Amino acid sequence: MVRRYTQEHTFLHPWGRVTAACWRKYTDPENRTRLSHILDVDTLDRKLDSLNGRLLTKRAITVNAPGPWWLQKIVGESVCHCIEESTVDAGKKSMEIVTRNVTLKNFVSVEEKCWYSPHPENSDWTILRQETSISCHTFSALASMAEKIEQRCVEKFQQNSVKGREVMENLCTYLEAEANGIGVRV
Amino acid sequence: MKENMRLSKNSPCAALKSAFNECFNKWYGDKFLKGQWEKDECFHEWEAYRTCVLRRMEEKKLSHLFQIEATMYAKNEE
Repeated sequence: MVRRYTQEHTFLHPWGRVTAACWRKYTDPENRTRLSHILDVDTLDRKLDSLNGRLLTKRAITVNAPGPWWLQKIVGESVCHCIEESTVDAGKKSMEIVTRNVTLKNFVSVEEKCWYSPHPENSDWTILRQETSISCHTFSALASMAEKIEQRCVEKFQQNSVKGREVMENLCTYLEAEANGIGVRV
Repeated sequence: MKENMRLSKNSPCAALKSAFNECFNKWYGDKFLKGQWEKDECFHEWEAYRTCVLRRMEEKKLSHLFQIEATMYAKNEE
C-alpha cells in the first residue's frame, strides 16, 4: 500500500532568495536544533552546466530512522540514509529536489519531490509544491502493523516538513535583511 | 545513533564542509542567480571536501550505498 500526499506553500519571497535559503536549510548551524531529525548532510557530487545555467547536485542525507524504538530494534538501524538529487535551472527559475531512502528499503520506501517556482500570480513570491509517497513492505501477517507504522511515518513527515518550512521562512527573512545591508546576525 | 551523531559532529570533514558551503552559498547568491554561471568558483573547496567525504564513507562502510550514485555524473561528463 502506498500513501501519497501533496502540499503547497507560498513563500512571500522571490525565487532566488527561497532557493538560496534552501541550500542553507540543513547546513546552517542556527537551525540544527530545529531540524534535529537531520543528523548529517554531505554533498556527494555536483555538476554545473555552464552553458544553460543548470546546477545538478547529489547529497547524502542521514536522518533518524522513522518509527517507534521497538521497530528500530527489529530493523536493527536507528538511522536512515537518503539520497537527494536536485536540479536548479537559473534561466527558467526552477528548482526540483527528489529525495529517497537508500537504506531500510526492505521496510519502507519514501520519495519526496519538491518544486520551487515563481508564483503564477506574483513573481515576487515563490510557490513550493511537494509530493510525498510512502510505502511499507512487510509480510501480509504484519499488514495492519505496517499500516500503523505507515501512518506514523506520514505524520512524522508532515511535522518535519512544517519545521522545514519554518526554517526556510527564517532564512528568507535573514537573507532579505542581508540583501538590504542590515546585519541580523554574524 | 549516539556513535553516528558523535561521528558527524567530530567529522574530520567538518571544516572542509563548512569552507565549501560558505563558498557555495556566496557563489550561488552573488553569481549563479545573477546569470554568471560560466565558472564554478568553489572548485578547490569542493575537491578537498569531496576527497574527505568519499574517504569517510569508505571508512564507515557506506560507500557501497552511494557508489553508483556518486559515479553517475562522472560517466555522463562529455
